[in-house]
Amino acid sequence: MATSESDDFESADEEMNHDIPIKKHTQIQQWSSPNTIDSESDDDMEYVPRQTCTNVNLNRREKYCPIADTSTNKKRVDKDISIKDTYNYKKHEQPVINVDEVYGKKNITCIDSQKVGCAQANTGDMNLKVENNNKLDKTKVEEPTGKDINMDLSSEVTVKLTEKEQTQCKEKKLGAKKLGTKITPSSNFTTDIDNRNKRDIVITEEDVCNKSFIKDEITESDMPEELKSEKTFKEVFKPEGWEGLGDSIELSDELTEEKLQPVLKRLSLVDEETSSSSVWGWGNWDVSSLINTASAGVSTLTSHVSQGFTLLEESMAISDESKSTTNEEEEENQTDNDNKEEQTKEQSSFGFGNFISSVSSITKLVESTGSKVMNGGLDTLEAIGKKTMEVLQEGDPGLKKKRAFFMNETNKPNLSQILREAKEKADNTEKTIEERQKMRKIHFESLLDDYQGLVHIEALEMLSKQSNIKIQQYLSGLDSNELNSVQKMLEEVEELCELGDDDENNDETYEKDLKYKLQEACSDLGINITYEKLHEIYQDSKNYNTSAMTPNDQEIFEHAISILAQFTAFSIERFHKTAELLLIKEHRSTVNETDSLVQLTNILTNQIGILANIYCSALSKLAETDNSDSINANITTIFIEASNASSYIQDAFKLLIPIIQVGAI
Amino acid sequence: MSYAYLFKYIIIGDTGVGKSCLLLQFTDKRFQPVHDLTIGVEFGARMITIDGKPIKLQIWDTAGQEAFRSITRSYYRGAAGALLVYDITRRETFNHLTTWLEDARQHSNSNMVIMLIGNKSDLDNRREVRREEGEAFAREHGLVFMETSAKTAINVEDAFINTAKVIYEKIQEGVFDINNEANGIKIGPQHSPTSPSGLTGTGGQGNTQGGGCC
Repeated sequence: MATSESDDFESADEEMNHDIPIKKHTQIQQWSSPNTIDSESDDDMEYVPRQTCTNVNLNRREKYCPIADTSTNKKRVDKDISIKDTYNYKKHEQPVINVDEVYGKKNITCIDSQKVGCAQANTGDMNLKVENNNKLDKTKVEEPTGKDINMDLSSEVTVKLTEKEQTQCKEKKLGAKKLGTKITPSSNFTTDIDNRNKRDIVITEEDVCNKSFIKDEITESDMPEELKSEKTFKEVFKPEGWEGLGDSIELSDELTEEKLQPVLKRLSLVDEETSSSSVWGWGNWDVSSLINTASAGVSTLTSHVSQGFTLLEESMAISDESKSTTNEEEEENQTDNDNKEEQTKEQSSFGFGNFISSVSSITKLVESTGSKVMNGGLDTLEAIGKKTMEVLQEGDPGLKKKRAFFMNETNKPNLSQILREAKEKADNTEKTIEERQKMRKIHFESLLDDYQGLVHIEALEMLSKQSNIKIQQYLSGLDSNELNSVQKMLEEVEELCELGDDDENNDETYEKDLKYKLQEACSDLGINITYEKLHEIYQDSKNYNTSAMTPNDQEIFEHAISILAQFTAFSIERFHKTAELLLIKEHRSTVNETDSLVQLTNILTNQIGILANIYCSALSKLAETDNSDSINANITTIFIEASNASSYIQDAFKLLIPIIQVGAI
Repeated sequence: MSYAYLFKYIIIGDTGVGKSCLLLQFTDKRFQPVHDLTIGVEFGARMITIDGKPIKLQIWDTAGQEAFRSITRSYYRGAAGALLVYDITRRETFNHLTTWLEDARQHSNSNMVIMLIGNKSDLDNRREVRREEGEAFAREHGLVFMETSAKTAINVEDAFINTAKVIYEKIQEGVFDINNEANGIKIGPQHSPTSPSGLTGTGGQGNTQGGGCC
């Protein structure tokens, strides 16, 4: 249904173009970008890629625009004219014109059928149409201009098909919209008739126009069922159309007002035949008359009419609403419709000269309306510009801030300043980082972590927990007697593991005996593990203190803390490894393990004290000469960290107890 | 060193697949062809930068020997990421992946990120496990996959860092509860707002990851 409407619109536009060259551009733009014009159509239907034929595009747009439909009806007639104008200028070939007309008629019929509600029938009709068009095309193939037209037609047909499918869906979906769309296409016939009337109507009274459109609707509804049904369409319309086509081709030149009048009468009768044949007649008449008369004048008319249509559309929108609301109104309109048709008859009788003269007067009015439209567009642009400025100036009167923002060149030197500040900041942070790293050097825990002492304790703790769980599981599965004995045994192990201070007597022989003592203690463990690395660390510290006596007390202090952390970390690591090896050992000897581990712990804690003493004595020597306060503070720190290290070792040892116990079970 | 986050990794897989070599290559950037058998677990640590944040990777390199299996299992707990390593030149190491994976899934938290690594990719002439097989296994079990060479250092960094990235993303998504250390993530000790921002702003870009502005 929509296809026809769109065609009309285009034609109207073309007419407009002739008179007003400026407008032409705008119209062309519209064609190229149909999206802008009709939002509805875009949503509903996909855009089938076709030739750039503007007509086709327009069709699509308007098809789904209920408001536009009213205007489009008239436009379609115009379109026929316009096509004639464009193509006929070069060659006065009737067939081309006829084709257009036929096409237009077909559209109408299709639309009608759709309106009736036979969606499937519609598609069938469409196919028929397509065939017809193709035939037409074939006949015209020889003519170059005709080819172009053919192209347009074919494209249009395809578009229509798709549209029909969509429209079918649409009709189902949209109740209200249906009404509007249906109504509009019906008006096509009448609009053809009203073609001239339109101008009058448009210019004179919008209300009248509305009425006329309403009439169109009514005529549709009144249309005989034969037309509506598929059969009638095929049988009646199609053959007639073909015949009519041929006739029209022959008669086109001969067409006169006399011919027009009978056609008009037929239209008024609103017969099935009228719908088809009358349209034909109209189309022919329009074409011939236009060709005969100055084509330019016609084009101007059409252009004016199209302008009027825009106004009409607005009014029509209102009218559509009213239509949908009540049927009574339609009835009333019917009466109006009759009147209108009479008017059209009268006008047709006036003759072309009168027609043109009246048109010329009308054109002036139209021009005024056109200029109004132009002005309206300018006003819109101006409004947009004003609004933009308002938005820009919102909260910024006179755009002072924004100007300042863009013209802010005085701030350029500030960039270097900012960079300088940033660099200073970075330097400061670097300094603080360095300081922190320095602090880290004398922070026992951090160093212990660096030497992985903490993570070894963590791992050892996990093993210890695991062993404890195993012990508890074992105990839970025992009866009371066994439980008592096992618990006693576990307590004994714990007692054995209590660390005494009795090894302090060995202090004097520590230097020679450390390596030996460690080996001895390890031998009882029954696992392949050495604690030699601890001896190496001790040797390092000893070498540091004897050979390289640096005068800097801070360095000695740092070294002391570092060695303590290293020693502690490695002690813990050894304990951890010992635990792992003990856990995978097949034959455990609890007493030996306990004994050697206690020994080891005592040796290690003692060694911590020895290390601390070495460094402290070195520092105290320096304290006699240098700033004694800081050195004494450092000495105190070393002793504190030494005791801290001892407690770490002892804690690690305590974690070993469950591992020993688990071996006892 | 101060760090924003500490991620605990574990490296697991059959003995001799190159777990300790991967760790050494990642932490010390060197390769040691002859390695002592790992007893229980060894540790390595390295700082990396992700999203401009210094992150410490604490890697637990477990012993692959069957004897230590019961011990190493107890270390799985509290790991945020795991590198499951096999040797592309020894098919049996690939065949054992399923048991390793079951072990890891059973003894670790469910959010642990596991990366499958086919090591020794430099020994392509002795390859027994095709790359596609590793990919398929990873896909099947929802792992990240990479072939690495601890010898040539190919993909070693990426393996560790990509895993960290996944963990970091999970932290951002809120999957990991960083306050629960059982997830293997610790927040840095003195992670004051001043120093890290300065660090990330200046030195962050030079690191493996580009510094983020936020």
